[in-house]
Amino acid sequence: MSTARLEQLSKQYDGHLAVDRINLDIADGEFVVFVGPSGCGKSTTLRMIAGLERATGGEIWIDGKPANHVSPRDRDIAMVFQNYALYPHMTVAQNLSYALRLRNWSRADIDRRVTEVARSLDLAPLLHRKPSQLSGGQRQRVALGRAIIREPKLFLMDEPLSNLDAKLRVQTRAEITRLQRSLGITTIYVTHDQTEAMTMGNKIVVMNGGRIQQADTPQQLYQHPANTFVAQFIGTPPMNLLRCRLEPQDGAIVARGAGVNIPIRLESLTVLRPKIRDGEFLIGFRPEDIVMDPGAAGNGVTGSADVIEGLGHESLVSVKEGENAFIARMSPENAAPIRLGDRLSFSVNPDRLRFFSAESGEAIRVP
Amino acid sequence: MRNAPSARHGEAFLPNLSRIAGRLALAALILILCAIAVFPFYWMFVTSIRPSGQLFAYPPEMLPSANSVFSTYVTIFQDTALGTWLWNSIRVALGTAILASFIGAMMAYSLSRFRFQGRGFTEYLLLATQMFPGILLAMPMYVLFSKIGLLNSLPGLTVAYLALLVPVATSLLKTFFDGIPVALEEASLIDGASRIGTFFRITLPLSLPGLASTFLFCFIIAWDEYLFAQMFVRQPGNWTVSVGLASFSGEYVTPWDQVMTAATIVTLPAAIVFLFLQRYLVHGLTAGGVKG
Ligand SMILES: Nc1ncnc2c1ncn2[C@@H]1O[C@H](COP(=O)(O)OP(=O)(O)OP(=O)(O)O)[C@@H](O)[C@H]1O
Ligand SMILES: [Mg+2]
Repeated sequence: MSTARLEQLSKQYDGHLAVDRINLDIADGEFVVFVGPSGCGKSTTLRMIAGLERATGGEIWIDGKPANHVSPRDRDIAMVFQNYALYPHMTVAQNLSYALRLRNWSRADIDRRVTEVARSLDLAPLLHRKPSQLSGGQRQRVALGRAIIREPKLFLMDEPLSNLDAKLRVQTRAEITRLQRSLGITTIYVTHDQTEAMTMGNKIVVMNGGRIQQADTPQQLYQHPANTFVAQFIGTPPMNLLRCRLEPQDGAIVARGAGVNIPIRLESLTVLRPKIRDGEFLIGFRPEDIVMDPGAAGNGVTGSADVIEGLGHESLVSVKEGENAFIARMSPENAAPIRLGDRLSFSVNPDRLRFFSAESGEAIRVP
Repeated sequence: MRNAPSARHGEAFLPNLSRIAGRLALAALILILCAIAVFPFYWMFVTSIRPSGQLFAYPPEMLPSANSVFSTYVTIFQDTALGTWLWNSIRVALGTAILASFIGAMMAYSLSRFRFQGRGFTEYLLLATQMFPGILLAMPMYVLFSKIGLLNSLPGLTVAYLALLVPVATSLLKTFFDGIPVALEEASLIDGASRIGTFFRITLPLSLPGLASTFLFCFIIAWDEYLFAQMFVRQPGNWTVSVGLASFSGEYVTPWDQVMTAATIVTLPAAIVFLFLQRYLVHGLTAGGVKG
C-alpha cells in the first residue's frame, strides 16, 4: 500500500516558477508518467517528491503522511536517474547491494537478493565489473536493479531511457513496464517522449510551463485532450486544429473556415453557441479520423496536397488551404495517385470532432 | 595503410621509415629532458660521496670517483643537528599536510555543494590570499605571533604554513569536488545514507586522487619552505631542514660534501611520501558513473 498526493505543490527558483501549484493523486500500484517539453518542471517535481529539492509551496503526502520535511533517506523511495548515477568506484554487485548494506542486512540475505535481482535483469555475468566497463544498456539495467533491489514505497524514474539507442529503448521500455506490473510498486516516470508515456503509463500527466495541463488515462488524453497544448503534444502527428466560425447554411449551422465546411449537430450547438458566440474557434480531429471522399466538398475539409510522406505501412498527406492546414493518415494505396497540388476532399467522422476556444485553447466538451 | 591497399611498394615503405625516425626523435627528446631534470640530483649525490680533496677538481668529473666516501652520511648526523632538523621538518610538514588537507576538504566540500550567503565572496577571498607575496604576509604575522607567543615553536610554524596553504588546498580540492557529479551523492541519499555517510562512502573515495595530490603539494611546500622557517624560528634546536641546510654555508668556507650529503638525505622523505601516494594519483576514478 503506497499512495502519493501532491497538493498545490510549487517550486520557485529565484523569481521564476519552475513548478506551479500542482495537484495530483497517485493511487497504490499506479504507473504515472509525467510528460512535457524540456524545461516544463518534470524533473523538479520528481526531485521534490524524492526530497532532493525543497518545495517552496504546497504539500507532499506519501502514504497519507506529510512528507515535506522528511529527508530522502527516510522516504523509502528508489530513484533511477537520467544519467544512471552509478557509484563508479563500486562493482555492479556493490552498487546493487549499497542500499541493503546501509540497512544492515546480513551477508547471506544480501547475496541472495543480489543474485535474484541480477538474474531478473540479466546482470549475473557482470556482477564483478565496474560501471566504466559496462555498455550503456548494461549500466541502465544496473541503475534499474539498484532501484528494485529493496522493494520501496515509490519508484521514481527520470528519463531512464533517454541515453539508449532506439532499439534498446523499446526493449527496455517493455522490460520496465513488465517489472512494474509484476512488482506492483507505485511508480512515477518522467519522460519527454510522448510515445514512451502512452505505452507505459496507467495515468499520464501532461505538463507545460510548470503546470499540469491534463492528468488522465492514455485513451482519454488521446480522445479528449483538455486543451490545444495536449492535443498537439500527444499523438504523432498531432491533432489537426483548424480555425473556423459558426455560420448558418441551408437552415442548419456549419463550422466554416478556410477549407472547412462541417455541419454541427444540434446537441453540440447548445453547448458551443454560448461559449463562442460569433467568434472564432478551433475544430480538432485526428489524422486518422478523416477519409478521402471526393463527394464531400461541402461537407468536410478540403485543400491542396502540400507534402506526402510515405512511411511504408501508411502515408501522411499534408493538406493546405489558406490559413488552415491539416494532415490525413491513409493507406499507401490511397495515397499513391495523389500528386502535389492536387485538390483533395475529406469527410470527417462527426463523433471524433473536438472543439477548442480560440483565445484560451481550452477544450469545449460537447455531447 | 589499411585504407590504401593499392599503394606501390616504394610509397608504402617511405612513410614507415619517416614514422620510425619520428619516434626515435621523440624518444631522444624525452631522454634529453629527463636528463636535464635528473642531472642536479645526480650531481648532488655524486658530489656528496666525493672525497673533499677532489671537490673542486677541474675539469669536473662526471662519474663518481673510484675512492668514493660514504662516511659523510654517518658523520653528518654526529657533526650537525641534521637528525633533529629532519625530525622537526617531518613533524611540521606532516602536520601541515594533514591539517591543510583536512580543513581544506571541509571548506571545499561546503563551497562546492552548499549554497549559502557569502559563498561567492569566500571564493574571492580564497583567491585574494594567493595574490600577496609571502614576505608581505610574513611581517605582520611575525608581529602577531610574537604577541601570542607562537614564535620559536614548531606548532607556531605549522600554524603559519596552514595560513598559507589552507586557501590553496581549498581551491584545489574544490575543483575536485566539483568534478564529482552531485547525482552520485543524491543517489546515495535516496539509497538510505546520511549526508555524512554519503561523504565518507561516496565523495571521499572518489576524491582520493585530489586529496593525495593536495596532501603531497602541501607536504612539499612545507618541507621546502625557508622564508617563514628562518624568520619565525631562531633556536637551532627547533630549526627545520631548510634552515639547517642553509646554516652550513659558513662565512669563509662551505663544506660542499656535507651540504650535498644533507641535501640528498633531505630529498628522501619527500620522495618516500610521493612514492607512497602515487598509487592514488590516478585519473578517471569517476569514469562510468554518470552519462550526459
Ligand atoms: N537549480 C536551478 N536553478 C534555477 N532554475 C532551475 C534549476 N533547476 C531547474 N531550473 C529551471 O526550472 C525549470 C524546470 O526544470 P526541470 O529540470 O524540472 O525541467 P524538465 O521538465 O525536467 O526538463 P528536461 O526535459 O529538459 O529534463 C526550467 O526552466 C529550469 O531552467
Ligand atoms: Mg529533466
